Formats: sequence, structure tokens, C-alpha cells
Amino acid sequence: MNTSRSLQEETRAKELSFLVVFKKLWPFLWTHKSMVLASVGLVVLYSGIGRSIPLIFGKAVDEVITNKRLELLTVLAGIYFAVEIGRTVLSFFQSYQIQKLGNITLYEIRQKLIFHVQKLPLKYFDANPSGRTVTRVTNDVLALGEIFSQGIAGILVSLFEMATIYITMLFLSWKLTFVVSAFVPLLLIYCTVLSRKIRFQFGATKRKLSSINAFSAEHLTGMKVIQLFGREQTIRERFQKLSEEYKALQVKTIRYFALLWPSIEGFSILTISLALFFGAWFRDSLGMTVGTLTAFIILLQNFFRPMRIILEKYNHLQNSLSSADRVFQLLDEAEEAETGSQTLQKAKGHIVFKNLNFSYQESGPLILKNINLEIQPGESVALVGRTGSGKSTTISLLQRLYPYNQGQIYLDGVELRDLSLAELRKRIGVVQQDNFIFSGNFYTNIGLNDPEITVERMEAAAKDAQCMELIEKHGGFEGVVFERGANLSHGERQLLAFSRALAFDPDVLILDEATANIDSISESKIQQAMERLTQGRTSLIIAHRLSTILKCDKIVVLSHGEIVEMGTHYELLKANGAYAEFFRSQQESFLKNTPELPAPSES
Amino acid sequence: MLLSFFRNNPYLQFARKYRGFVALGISCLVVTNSLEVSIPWLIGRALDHLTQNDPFEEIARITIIIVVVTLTLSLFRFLWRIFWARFHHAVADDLRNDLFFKYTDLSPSFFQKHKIGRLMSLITNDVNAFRIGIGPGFLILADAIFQSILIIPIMISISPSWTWKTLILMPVTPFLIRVVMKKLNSAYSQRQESFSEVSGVAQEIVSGVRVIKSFAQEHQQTRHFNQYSKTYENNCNRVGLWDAFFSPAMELPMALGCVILLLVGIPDVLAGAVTIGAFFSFYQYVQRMMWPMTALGISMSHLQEGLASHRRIQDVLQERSEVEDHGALELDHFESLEVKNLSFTYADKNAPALQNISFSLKKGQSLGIVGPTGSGKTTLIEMLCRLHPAPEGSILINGHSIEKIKLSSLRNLVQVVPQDAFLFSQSVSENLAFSKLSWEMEEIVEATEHVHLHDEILEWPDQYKSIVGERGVNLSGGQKQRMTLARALVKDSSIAILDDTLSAVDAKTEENILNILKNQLQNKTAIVIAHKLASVAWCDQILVLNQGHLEWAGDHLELLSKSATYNQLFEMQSSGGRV
Repeated sequence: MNTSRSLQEETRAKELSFLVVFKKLWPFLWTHKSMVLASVGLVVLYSGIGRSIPLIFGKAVDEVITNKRLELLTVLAGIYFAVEIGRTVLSFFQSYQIQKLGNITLYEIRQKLIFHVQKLPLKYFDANPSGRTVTRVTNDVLALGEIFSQGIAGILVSLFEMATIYITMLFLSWKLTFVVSAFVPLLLIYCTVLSRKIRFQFGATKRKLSSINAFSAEHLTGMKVIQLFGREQTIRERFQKLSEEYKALQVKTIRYFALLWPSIEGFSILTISLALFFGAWFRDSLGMTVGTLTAFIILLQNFFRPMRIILEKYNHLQNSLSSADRVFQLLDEAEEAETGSQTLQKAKGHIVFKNLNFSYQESGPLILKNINLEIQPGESVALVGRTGSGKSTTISLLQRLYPYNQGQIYLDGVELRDLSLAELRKRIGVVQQDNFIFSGNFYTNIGLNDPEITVERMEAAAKDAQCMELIEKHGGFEGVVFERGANLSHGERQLLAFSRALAFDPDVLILDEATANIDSISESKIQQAMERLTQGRTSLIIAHRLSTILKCDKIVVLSHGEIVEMGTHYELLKANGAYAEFFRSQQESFLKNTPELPAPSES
Repeated sequence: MLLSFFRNNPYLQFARKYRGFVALGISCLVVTNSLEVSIPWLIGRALDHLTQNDPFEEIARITIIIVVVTLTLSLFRFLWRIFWARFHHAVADDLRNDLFFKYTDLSPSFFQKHKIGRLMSLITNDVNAFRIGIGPGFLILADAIFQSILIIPIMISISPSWTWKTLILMPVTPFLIRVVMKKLNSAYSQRQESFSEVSGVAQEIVSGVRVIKSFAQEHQQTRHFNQYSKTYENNCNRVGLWDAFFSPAMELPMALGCVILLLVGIPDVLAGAVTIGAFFSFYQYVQRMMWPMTALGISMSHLQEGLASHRRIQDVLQERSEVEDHGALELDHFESLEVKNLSFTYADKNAPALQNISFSLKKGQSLGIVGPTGSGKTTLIEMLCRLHPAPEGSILINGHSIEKIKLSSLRNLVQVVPQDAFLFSQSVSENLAFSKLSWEMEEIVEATEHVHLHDEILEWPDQYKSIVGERGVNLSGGQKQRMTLARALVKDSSIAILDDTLSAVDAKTEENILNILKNQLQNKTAIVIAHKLASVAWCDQILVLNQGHLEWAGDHLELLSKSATYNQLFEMQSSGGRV
């Protein structure tokens, strides 16, 4: 996914038809057949019953007034009353029913989407900023909801209303109906042209609003920098300009709307005078009574209101439509391929990499070249090398976070591709340099809401990972943990991640720079936790800290995707190769930086 | 209540400010309303001609009048919308700017107290709510009043008894609408709340996807998400429920009025007291009265919401900055800094962040600050830049107490590299030249070369024009730090302040940068905060802070022999060697 394409996708004012999106929505809707049918039934009934009102009024004029049959009055008034009550009840139920249908459908779309997102390959997340994906599952789904609450409900009802009104008019006098509809195509063309402008304007306004939001979010966050650099005035002027542009766009949008509504209303009144004029002109040949004509006029008056609603909703919906489109695009992204179904009850932790080659892009540069490595059950192996040497890629492949095509990786003699993904990943525990901490409490962070992880297991894991002190400090296991662990220090987050890994009791352990950048106070605890965690488990450790590397059974040195050296610390130092050089240069840098410093032993 | 409405009412204040647009808008509205109200009457007249078998010309005449009235009506309706839109969008623009200006004036403590999200919501949601109050809210109230004033007399002129009988139920509408709107608003805010929760969970799932995958927790997380999603669905349904009450509340009293009209009106028509045409007009007026009644309910709700939002906006606009810019002194160079018994406690904390700190620094000297996390290092340098208020006389620059110095002049003296490397999503060169209105490319390149960033920038797609952030190049932690360092270098002030600036670059790069900086800073005064002792060991003077206290001050060798904390740090850092 290149950025320029995705950028376009968001900034372009895309015209999407309601029907295209509706077609995608339909399968979700149709799982609730009875609710769909009930909604449509209620809408039809509601708009159908409403049409009888002008007829009753016309009848009252003709029968009671013109024909002087006063005895019919109470009957007609009674029917009128009953119809209005029925309409009120139906109005409530049709509206509520459609909302409920929409809400349950959206619930299911959200569920499908969130599961789908978690099933996307890691490659997807590498290519797409997480902010964008979050927007898809939150704001875009919200906008999709507007299609129901605003769109489908309003448009569907209005369409039925217009249809029933037109049919009733034809039924009263098809000739007069044709006469008054002669000019409708003109109005339609006018509205279409104007609507297109409005939609464009809407899009522009919305985009300007998001620029204002983005601008203020960013500059409020960076206010300290702005003040330190004395740039307040410049920033204010830029905001002022944005706000002014936003205002101008909104006023312009209103101008188009102001052209649209009065035109429709004017047109409506003009057709009524047309009806009056021709009704009177052809009075004898049409054979319309006064009552029929009044009924006809009332129908005409009602005809343009739903039209106005449709236009309004449709214009507002354009934005939701593009959101919906993006949601469905995300749903169409391919999920991680599940290639195997074999399960392992418990792995001994025997790992073999065999002739493994890997690159992130097809025909891209090889990140790993011909990796051959055997790790015995219970052995701990340190991976050492510079940034970009392939350490992290190696361990990502062991979890099959990326698909590999050349070479094999075996766990207890089974090729990873023959294992189900969930099975494989449950056997392997990972602690990274920066572990994601969820908001909630310590239980939810250690056990991740997995029902298999009992409270006892979580508590034991916390104890083993030296986590108890920090948990008590934050009010026990139920203590609040903020978003991304904001109320924990880096070292504390690390300890928590160790407990998490421990609670899931993995057979193979991966530590990816788990001890880097930790304040010295937590360090000894982390060391203890790490020892507890690696006990009796096969472990792969990426580390910079000498003390960590020294504890490993074997050190594997990677350079440019290849294994260049392998052995124990002392073997490698003796060999005086890449490891030895690397080790020495890093050792020296500390001393070099403190030139006036006497040798530590002297102080 | 009425009195309090007029006294200091923000709506009236803004209406006074934009009285031109308001007057034009209201006048056009009155014309529109009058013309609009005449149409049912005209149609009624036409129907009368029809029933009385009058010559066709009479009807033709009326239809022509209707056409003329309609065209005029449409024109005026267009006009009032335009005038009114200009009015309320100008008000929104004013408030947005007032708020943003205020924000740029307020000190960091304000931003600690209030979440950015809430401050933004004031700019967007609350300003919009007030705009809706003063715009549509105010307008439909006026519309409702004018329409009622125009329609009711016509109705009475047709038949006083019909009028009260058909309208008697109507006043129920505004109350029903108010109730429904109230319920709707509370349902909306509940829905919004649960939506934020759903979003929060979704955000965590997306951000934590690697952990979820590693622990094969997809199903559990989906179940967790579903709980929130279900609550959200239920809240949506509540909105749907009250929304469904809206139309009935609006229409039913009117519809019942129509039934009453049939019962009481038709006998009168039969008796010849009222014509069919007038009866039809009356029927139409009853229907038309639905809108003013509904509008009363809606506008009251809009107006109230708007006032509540205005109060929230005012609360912020009346905030006073902790650091007020009353100083008049302008300094053009730096001579000396003296800190005397400086203590400071954050407003929302009990324990002091700094206690009795004293030290002094002369032009050209360098000062290092070390100490564990939370010891007050950053607070101290922020106080030197007057981001927090210092007690009078506790910080002196060139012998002048800091609050006597003009804020812009004070901040011109320092070039700061803050701890968190914050960059703006502008181009690389705009970020680097953040301190300047205009700049030369050479000065930027010089700065990036000093921090070893120039070559990397040249590799980016648009080089110095690349946009920083999600929409452009994503920088690594080390790159960000070096960018902020270069940004400060471009500013070129007398005092350089580096707040733990090199934590995310590797040892080799750090060493190089430090060497260059030491040269760069030779004729400058430098204040350096660091975790790694190696980064401050070269300074003329090093402060060791611990829990807000100044534990020791002295140079590296002095501290090694005297400060326990310093020694402990030194032991740890020299033995823990990194590979």
C-alpha cells in the first residue's frame, strides 16, 4: 500500500451511489428477514393509510356539504380520527423498527470487522498507520450507522409516501395528474444539478473541519513547544485562516441549500395553482367535484415534502457512503492464511530452522539468507547483531507473523505451516521491548480475559515475575491500569509483560530486547523475572545487555541476514571475530564519553 | 427567568454585535411569513369562485396572484437564509478564534488539568451547539412567533369559535416536543459515551494487535469488544425509541384539531355561515399551526443547549494564565542566571516538585542536571523558561527578577530541546525553522549536519520538503530527537537547554553529536539534563536532584567523592555495559 494512494482515498471527494453501498449491506440485513419484512410492511402500511386523509376530507366536502348529508359527518370524522390514531401508532412503530434493524445490523458489522482486523496479516499493519485502521472501525462504522438512522429510514418512508401520493392522485384524476407533472422533470434536473454542488460543498466543508480538528489537536499537544519558541502569533493566524475558510464554506453550502428549498416550495405552490387553473378551466370535461379538487390539492401539497427529505438525506449521506465504502474495503482485505490444522498438546521446544530465506516483499531484498539453526529443548539462545541484521524477523517468523516460502521451520519436528496459527502462537510466549498494555486492571492485563487463565494462575505468574510489589503499589490486582499503561513506568510495564507471558505458560519463550531501556531500579527485578521465566523453557533472546547475553547457552551472531558466528561468549571472544569486535567497541564508548574520568577502579 | 434571559444574555450580545445581518434576516423573514400565510387564503378564494360557478377569469386572476406571491416568497426566503447564515457562522468563527487564542495564552498547567480531547470538543461541539442556539434556535423561535401572530388573527376572522376549539390541544405540542427532545438529548449523550468506550476498545485492539496475535486472543478480544458494542447498540435503540416519538408528538394534536374542525366546521358551512373556500383555508391554517408549536419546543431546546455550551466556553475564556506577561524589560543578551531558594508545587499535587533550589550560572558556563525520574529536573528548566510561575525574586536573569522580563524576550534567550520530541506535521524544513518567520536553507542544513541528520533527510522521498508524521515520513525515536535538536540549533539563542535529548540515539551517534555540541556550545551557556552520566560529566557544574531537593552541586570529580546518588548511578552505568 503506498501512501500516495491511501492519501488520495481520503482526500478525494468520491461520488458513490447509495445503491452500491446498499447492495453490500443487504447480506447483513437479510440475516434478519423477519425484521426487514416487518419494517417494510410497517412503512407501506403507514404511508398507505396516510393517503386516505385527503380522500376523507374530499368526501366530507362533497357528500356532507355539497350533497347535504349531515348524517355522514360523524362517520367520516370517526374514520378520520381512527386513521390519525392508526397513523400515529404506525409512525412510531415503523420508525422504531427500522432503527432497531439498523442497530442490530451494525452490531454484527462491528463484530465482523473487529474480528477481521485481528485476523489481518501483520504486513497490513506495517503498511497502514494504525490511526487509519482505528478510524475504520470507529468513525467510519459510526458514519455507516447514519445510513440507517438517517438514510434508509428517511428515504424509504419518503419514497413510499411519494409513490402512494402519486397513485392516489392518478386515481382521483389521471388527466390533471399528467398536467401538473408536466414540469416535474424540470424540477428534477434543477435539483440534481444543485444537489451535486451541495454534495461537493459538503465534502469540502467536512474536510475543512477535519483540518481544523487535526490542526488544533496537534497544536494543543505541542503548545509547550509553541510557547518556548514564541510562535503563538503565527499559530493563531493560521488557525484564524482555517476558521475563516471553514466559515466561508459553510455559508456557501447554505447558499446552495437556500436556493434548493425555496425553489422546491415555490414549485409546489406553482403546481397547486396549475391544478386550480386547469381544474377550473376543464371543470366540465374533467368532471371533478370541489371535494375531489381539494383532496387533489392537499395531495399535491404533501407530494413535495418527502421529495425535499430525500434530497436532504441523500446529500448528507454522501459522506456516510464513502465511509461505508471504506469499511467494506477493509472487510475485503485478505486475512492471514491458515495453512495447517495440526495441534500440539505440549511442545518440548525443539526448534530447527532449515535453509530459511525470507524477504518482506516478493522479489524484494532478502532479509534472512539461508538460516540453519537447531535449538535443543530447554536451551537458551541469544541473537546478537546490529539493527537490521534480521534478529526480529527471525523471531517473527517463528510465530509465523509473516508467511515464508523458502525453507522450513520445525517445532518438535512439525513444520510450522502444518500447525494451526492459534496453536502455534499459544505455545510461544513473547516479551518485547515495548509491550502493549491494555486499559483495565492487572487481571485483564495478565490474563487478557482468556477464560483458560484462572485467577490462581495469574496471581502465581505475578508473584513469579516479581510483580507483586508494583501491583500492591497500584491498589492490588483490581487496581486501575490506564490506556497503554500510562500510569506505569517502563520497567513496571516490562514486569507486567513478563507476568503475562508466564501466565500463559508457553513452551518456547521469546524475549525481544525485553531488558533494553529500563531504569536501573527495576533492572534487578527484571533479571530475576527473566531467570524464572526461562527456567526449563527453550528461549530465544535478543539483547544488548551483556549480563543477559552471558547467561545464555549459545550466542548466534547475525549480520545482514546471515548467521556469521555461533558459540558461547568465551568461545566467540576467543575466535576474535565480529562478536568480539562488536563487544569491544560498545564497551569503550562509555569510557570515551567521559574524557576527564579517572579509571573506575581508582575512585 | 425572563429577566435573567435578557441580562447578560450571550445571544443578545452577539445579536447586537451583528445587528445588521440580524435586522436584514428578520425583516426578510417577516415578509416571507406574511406572503406564505396569504396562500391558503388565496386558494380558499379560488375554491369559492369555483363552487359559486364564477367566471373563469376570477380563478385565473387568483392563480396569477398566487404565482406572483410565490416568486416573491421564494426570493425572500432565499434572502433571509443567507443573511442569517452569515450571522451565526460569523458568531461561531468569533468563538472559535477566542478559544484558540486563549489556549495559546495558557500555561502548561492548564493543559495538564484538561484533556486535549475536551478542549477540542469546546472548539467544535460546543461552539457548534451555541451556533445552533443563536442561529437556527433563535430563528425558528422568531419564525414560530411571527407565524402565530399572522395566522391566528386570520383564523379568528374566519370563525372565533372554530379557532379556540381546533387550537385548544395545540399548546400540548411544545411541551411534548420538549420532553421528547430532553429524553433524546440524554439518550444522545449516553450513546456518545458508549461510543467512546467502543472506540477505545477498538483502538486498543488495533494498537495491540501484535500482542493479541502472539497470545492467540482474537476470539477473547472480540468477545470483550462485543460487550461494549452491545451496550452501544442498546443506547442506539434508546435514541431510536425517543426519536420515534417525535413525529407523533408533533402531529397528533394537530390531527385531532382537524377532526374537531370537521365536526364543528361542516355544520357551520352547511348553515351558510362560512364558505367552503374559507373552510378549506381554515383547515390549512390548522395544519400550518403545527410548525410554530413544534418550533417552540425545538427552539427552546436549542437555546438551552446553546447556553450550556456557552457557559462551558466562558469557563475557559475566563481562565487566567498562571504566567502573566506583565514584564516590560527587554533583554538583548545573557549575562548571568541566579536561582535563589526556588520552591514550586504543582497546583494539583501536594508534594512540592522543587524545594529550596539555589545555584548560579554565568555566561559561557555549562550546567548538567542529573537525578532519578520524578526528581524535578524538567520542572526546573521549565521554570527557567517561565512555563510555570516562580516566586518573585527566586529566579534572576542578568540580575532582574524573571517576571519583570517580557515573556517573548525571555524565551528569545533560550533554545530548548524538550524531553518529548514533539514535531508538527509540516515539512521537515518548516519544522526545523519553527523559530523563524523566514529562513535560509543553509542555516537549516548546517544544523542538520551537526546532528548527523542531513544525509538521512536526503534519502527521504521529498527530502527537506517531506511532511513529518503519519501522512508523510515516519521518523524513528532517534531521528525525532535529532530533529528537535537541530530545530533548537537553528534558533541560535544565548542559552541552550537540552532535556534528556539523546536517550534514543545509539552510543556512537550520541558520542559524535556530543562532541559537536560541545564545540557549538562553547560560546553559549548550556544546561543539559541527562540520564547517562557520560552526557553531563564534561559540564562545569552538575546538579544532583533527588525528590525536588538539590542533593549536591559540583563538578564530576567532586560529585564522585561526595554524592551517594551520583556514585550509585556511576557504578550502575559503568558496569552494566551494553553490547
